[in-house]
Amino acid sequence: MHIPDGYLGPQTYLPAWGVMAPLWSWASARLKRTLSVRRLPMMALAAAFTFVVMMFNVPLPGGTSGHAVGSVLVAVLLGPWAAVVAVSLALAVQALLFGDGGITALGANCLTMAVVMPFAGWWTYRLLAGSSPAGSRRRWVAAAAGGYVGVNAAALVTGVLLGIQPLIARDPSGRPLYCPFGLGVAVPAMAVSHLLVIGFVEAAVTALALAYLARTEPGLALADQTAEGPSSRGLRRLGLSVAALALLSPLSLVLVARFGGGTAWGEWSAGELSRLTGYLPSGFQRLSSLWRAPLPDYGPPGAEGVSVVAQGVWYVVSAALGVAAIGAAVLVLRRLFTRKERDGHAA
Amino acid sequence: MATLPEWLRPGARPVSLLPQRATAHRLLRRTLGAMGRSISLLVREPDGPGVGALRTADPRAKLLAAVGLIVATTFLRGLLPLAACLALALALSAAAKVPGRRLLPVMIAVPLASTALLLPATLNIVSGGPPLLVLWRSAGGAFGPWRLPEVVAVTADGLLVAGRMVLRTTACAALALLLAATTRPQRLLGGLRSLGVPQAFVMVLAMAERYLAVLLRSAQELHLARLARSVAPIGVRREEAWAAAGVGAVFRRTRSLADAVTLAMVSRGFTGEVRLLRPACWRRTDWLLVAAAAAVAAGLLILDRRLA
Repeated sequence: MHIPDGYLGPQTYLPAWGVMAPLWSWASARLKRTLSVRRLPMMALAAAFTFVVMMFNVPLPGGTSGHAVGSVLVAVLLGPWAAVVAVSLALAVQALLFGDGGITALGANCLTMAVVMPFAGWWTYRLLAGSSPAGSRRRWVAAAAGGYVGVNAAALVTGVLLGIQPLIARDPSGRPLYCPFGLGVAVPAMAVSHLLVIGFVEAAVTALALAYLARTEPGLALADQTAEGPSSRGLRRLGLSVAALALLSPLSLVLVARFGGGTAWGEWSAGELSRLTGYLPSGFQRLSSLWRAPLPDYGPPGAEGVSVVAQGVWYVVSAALGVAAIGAAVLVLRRLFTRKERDGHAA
Repeated sequence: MATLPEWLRPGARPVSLLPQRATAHRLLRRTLGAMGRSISLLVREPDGPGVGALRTADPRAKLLAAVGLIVATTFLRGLLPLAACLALALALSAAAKVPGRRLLPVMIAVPLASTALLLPATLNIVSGGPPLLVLWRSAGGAFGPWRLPEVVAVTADGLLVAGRMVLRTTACAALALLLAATTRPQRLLGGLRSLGVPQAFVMVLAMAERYLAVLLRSAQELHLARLARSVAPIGVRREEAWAAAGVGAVFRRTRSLADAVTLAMVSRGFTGEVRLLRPACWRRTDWLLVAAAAAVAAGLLILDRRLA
């Protein structure tokens, strides 16, 4: 699942870095609160542990072999935010020292394997495990489901990242500049292999490792049984609803197509306004050329008449970018204001 | 006098399973080999003296130069600038005396893997364009819900797209390898400060690198013990259970090591605040290296736009 350098264009890997930067700072701030002095050595060792997990090869039926990623296991053992940091660090060591996974693609790789995977797996695991005791059957079934869902979610996002390349980066003759396989090839290729084979490896390793630890170390506290799991329910619920809304955003495309609706009232572009009213105020004309949106109409720049599915994916990508930009702005403002407050107190 | 049992007599072959073991445990041996290589990369000796300015340059300068060149490479579109970039990386590797056993596996594996992955992209089904070499012709028709193409052919557009991708991935891999092979891991991670990575992350990365060798050694011992005790394959399910137990065992080692390291750090006065040694000053050659990399990157980008 490690994307090497050269498969993703700057239009993809730069936003991925942009999404990861606030997440890293948020994750480390959270860990600082919950893990205190123990956090640095534990994070370092957890990163090394994740690296080692990825080296365990498991034979697959048919003579090939695969390896687990281990993000969900780390999330179950140490909490999802610890997994964000530990897996990111492991991926950084792999990219820089071992050339496994690209340096420019590191942000995208961290997004899939260090954010999407542990959180998708963690939420599945929490949903199924409930408050069952540590060594119970229900808990390791939940861990298996978490591993399966986590690695498949990550594979899906990887497929989408690779699949949007031909849509967003083309040379003047229209040939794709980066990964040439569109969504119709990249997503099924990633999804089928993970749904049928690799998902089960991840599920088995996550569940059996947990079962082994429950048997050999009965006193072991899992992340959701300690203070290291997420505590702020309100924030989590907000995050979940925003993510759900972002995923539902292409629904409007379907509804507009179904009911033959037009642009929302009062949100007309210059072209639409002149068509509707027959003339265009000169001030409007002047102002409308001042700013050109990076993603006009929530679609790829310069692409006309893309299919509804591609447009739908673009809606989700635009929503994710918008949410990330607002989140980053809020974080920066909060940092600025708390600093000012602290300075004010000091003075 | 008692006679020696059959299996103790000279010339007896008690371990008739030996040849079978060699094939049955190919996977175990391969994993062991990979772990051994990783450990030797992490704990290798300091670089010998007198092997070029690239090895003695400040790791921060090398990081800036390499990352800048890799980023520039991802912007290139033409085959010629990409090939020039790859040639530059290989020439620098040769000048810095990167050993062949380090360079060759990457320079063979990366292009081969990308070529295999991108072969379908050379066909008209993926890339479109006029056919160059027709591979298969059929009357069309349908296979279930899918419509069969009438012609499957290699196209010039497809070759250009695939060639660009193979050259770009190989050039990026060569540049990343040049950076990793000419810098000691600890110094390379320490140099990340120059790219704006926060101090705490740099310190944790450096610690992770240090203890990675310890945990890898634990995992290696697990595999070695398993190999020594195995006589026949045990099946996929038990292999999975064994690997998971191994992962669990490594996690227990991780926890105990983390506790021990924390205690050791606290006893030496660690309070949770990160302090790093002040890095050495930049020398003129380091500035020169960064400037040269920036000039090459700019030159390649300009050449690329001219040719486009």
